[in-house]
This record gives sequence, structure tokens and C-alpha cells, in this order.
Amino acid sequence: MVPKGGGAVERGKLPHMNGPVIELDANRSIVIAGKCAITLYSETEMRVQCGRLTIRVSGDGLELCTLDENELSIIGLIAEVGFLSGT
Amino acid sequence: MVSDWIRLCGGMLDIRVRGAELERFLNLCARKRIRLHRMERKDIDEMRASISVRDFYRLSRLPQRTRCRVHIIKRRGLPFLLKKLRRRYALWGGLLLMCFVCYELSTRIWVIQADFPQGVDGYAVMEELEQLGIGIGTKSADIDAHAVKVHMMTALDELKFFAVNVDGNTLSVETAAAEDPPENEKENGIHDVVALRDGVIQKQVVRRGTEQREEGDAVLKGDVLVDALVEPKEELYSVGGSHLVDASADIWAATRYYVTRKMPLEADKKYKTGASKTRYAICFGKTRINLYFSSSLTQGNCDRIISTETIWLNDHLALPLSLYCETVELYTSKRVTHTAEELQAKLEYGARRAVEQQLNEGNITSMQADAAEEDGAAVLRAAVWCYEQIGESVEDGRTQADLPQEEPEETEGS
Repeated sequence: MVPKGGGAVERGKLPHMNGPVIELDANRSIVIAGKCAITLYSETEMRVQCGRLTIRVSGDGLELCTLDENELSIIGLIAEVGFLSGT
Repeated sequence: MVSDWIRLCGGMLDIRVRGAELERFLNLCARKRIRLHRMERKDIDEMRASISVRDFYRLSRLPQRTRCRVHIIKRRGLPFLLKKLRRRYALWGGLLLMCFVCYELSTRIWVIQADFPQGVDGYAVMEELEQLGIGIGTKSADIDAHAVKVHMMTALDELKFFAVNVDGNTLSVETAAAEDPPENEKENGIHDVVALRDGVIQKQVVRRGTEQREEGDAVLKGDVLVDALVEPKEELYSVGGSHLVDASADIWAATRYYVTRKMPLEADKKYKTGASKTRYAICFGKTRINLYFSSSLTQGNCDRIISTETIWLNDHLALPLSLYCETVELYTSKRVTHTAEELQAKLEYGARRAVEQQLNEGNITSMQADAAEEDGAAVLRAAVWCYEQIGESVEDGRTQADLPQEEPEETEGS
């Protein structure tokens, strides 16, 4: 996870990581950069599959803000971010 | 916000997607680079989103089955607006007409800016321009600046320089007055310089002629100050005798004027009643449209203040509209009696102005004045001291033939 505004680490350029880059803006939005697909979509929980990693975002009033080939962003009141399976 | 406007220019559709596998639909859209905006999950099997028209067509041509049904809820944006208005011919006609009128008006002159210096008859210049067909409403392209300049310089002798510049729909007229050559450069016959009035010489600048007086001398009106007759200087001229010239000089002297001015002690004084009336009119070019019904003047004494304001879009572009505002303020007059002391300042000002008008070149240095009441009037008697140029060129009656001729020197051997 890369903290927003850190500036020290450029997104997607981490030498030891090939998976998605996740950026959190407090508990209001989350941006997942990388090839990913939605597996569950509701106002309280969203699951995003990024390769072998599944990211679970739960909260309230969740909305898909951006969805394209390389980026996905969710806004709303984020309560928890978890990883269900991974390498 | 800006991106929303840009998207609306291309047309946007609000869609409703229903199906069991909405996630699959979203992932397919992402893979095919179909952008969805304002996504909102309404139900377990329903979501709403906005999509551009272009992406909607791409979505409908997708070979894969999305197992979802897409319905258009609302059409927004410019293409749909244009389609909606396509049969409103009067609207399009009006729009075209407005574009044409705007274009036509922007090609014409609506403001003429002219600042005429002293010595240029502004009325004559504007009349000549009017004769050339240049005025309010003239097409800018029809104005040939060079031809206008040639015409004006030919028609008006008083002009030294003339130029017209078209800037937007403003025509600026620039002029300069032709000046007479300086007095010291002219030589028209034989003249003396005499004193225009009594005074004490302070400074002399003699360009031609023989100086007759020195600084500090008192002179009377008519005294010759610089004589036209010039004696030869032996060290400079080896041959030749006396000759007459057109004497030229500036003689600066201290002079004195006596001025008497009167002003009645009783006078009418204005008192504004507070009642006023403002009337407006709109001027379109040379046409005035009154925004009031009655054009009759208000009864009684009144001051009329008129102002006209042109509407400018920017520094260069003026609309052919100007707002004319006329304010009429009523007043009553009342007879009041002043004292001589109260009127002294006004009388002194009048005395100064009267002396200044008599001065050719120079200024007032000091003034001593006394005011008194005589026969119902305030009388001011003032002595005004000035520093002025009193040299005046007058014709000399003599000619070269009147001068004594020198006998030629005899040469040796003759």
C-alpha cells in the first residue's frame, strides 16, 4: 500500500511488486491501479480481483467512480480494506 | 465540471443496466475501454450510469453477451438539443440574422475620437470628413486612410499633420496645426522694434538691428527699442556702409496696469428646490429613441445636465448604442445683497483675467487692490505689475536709398 502524497515512491515503480498499486485517501476513496476486475459490486462491499489477489473494500455508500482498463476507483465511507487471497 | 461540459458537447446518455451479472458487464466495459460515468448501484440487479453516445454505439456492437439489458433513460447534450430544435426554422433564422447583424455592425465605425489641438478648426475637419462620407455608421473597409489624409491636407491649409486610424469600430482622428515660422526667421521689409507700452526694461534679446536702450532703462509707449539701421563694424566688414534690416528682438520689461472693476451689490442667487427629473434615451447610431413620453420642458427655472455614455465591449470595440441621460434640476432665485469685502475676491479674479487678456507674452507678478462701495456697487481699483514682452515690430519709413552713400576709395594709378 502506498500512502497518498508520500512522493517517495512512484506508483507502479516498486521494484519488488508486480501486483496492483492501491492508494487510499483517508477513508473516503480508494484507487486501485493495475489490471483488475470487479467480482462483487454493492453499496456495502466491493471485491476487486487483481491477478491472484482479491481486494475487499467494505463500508457504506460505496460507488464506483472510475472503471477502465488500468484503473479502478471507489468512493464512499470506507470501513475496511482487506485481502482475501494472495501470493 | 469542465470535463462534464466537454462530454455534453458530444452528447451523453443516462442508462439503466439490469441483469444478474452486473460485475461481468462492468469488467467487459473496462476491457473494451468503454467509460462509464456516475455509476450508481440501485438494486442487486440494477445500476445506473452515464455513457457517451460514441461509447454507447460501441457497447451495442459488442459481440460478447453481457447478460444485461441496457435502457436509455435520458438523452443529454448538444446533439440531442440540436435535433430537438431542428424544425424551429424561425429560431435558426433569427440566429443567422443575429450573426449577420453582429458581423455587419462590427465592420462599421461607431465612435469617432478626435482631439483637436489649438489652431485646428475641429468643426471644419469634421465637416470635411462628413463630405468624404466618413461618419458614424461608415464601413471601416471603405475608409482609405491615405486618400483621406491627402484630401484633408489639401483642403485645410491650417493642418500640418493629419491621420485617421481605424481601431475596431473606433475611428481616431489625429491632427497638428501648421505653425507660422518663428518671427526671427521671417524678414519682411524694414522694421523697427518699438515699445508696446510703458515699462522698465529687464531683459533684451536682439536678433537683428541696433539696440537703442539698455537693461534698467525706463521706456514709454512708442519708443524705438531696436533700430533697423545697422552701422558697419570695421573689424568685421572691410567694405560696405550702413544698411537697413528687419529688426527683430524680444524686449522683456516690468509694466504696470491700472484696472477698475465694478459689480452690483445686489444679485440673484440660485437655490435648488431639490426637485429633479431624469429622462433617458437610447441612441442607435444617429437615431435617438426616447424612453419618455413628454418632451416638453419643465416649467420654471431649471438647470439641464446632459450626459451621453457609449457602451464599450472592450477597449477597442464599442457598441453602436449609447445611453443619453438628461437631468433637469429646478431652482428658485432670491435677491441677496453682498458687501464689497465679500465681492473683492471675485473682482480681483476678474481684474487678473482682464490684465492677462491684454498681455501679449508674460505674466502677472503682483497686484495691489482696494474695494469700496459706491452707488450700490462694489468698485475695485487695482494696480497690477507684470513682466512681459513689450517689443513690437513696426514698419520703418526709410529705404536703402535714403542712407548716405559712401564714396568709393580711389585706387593707385588712376
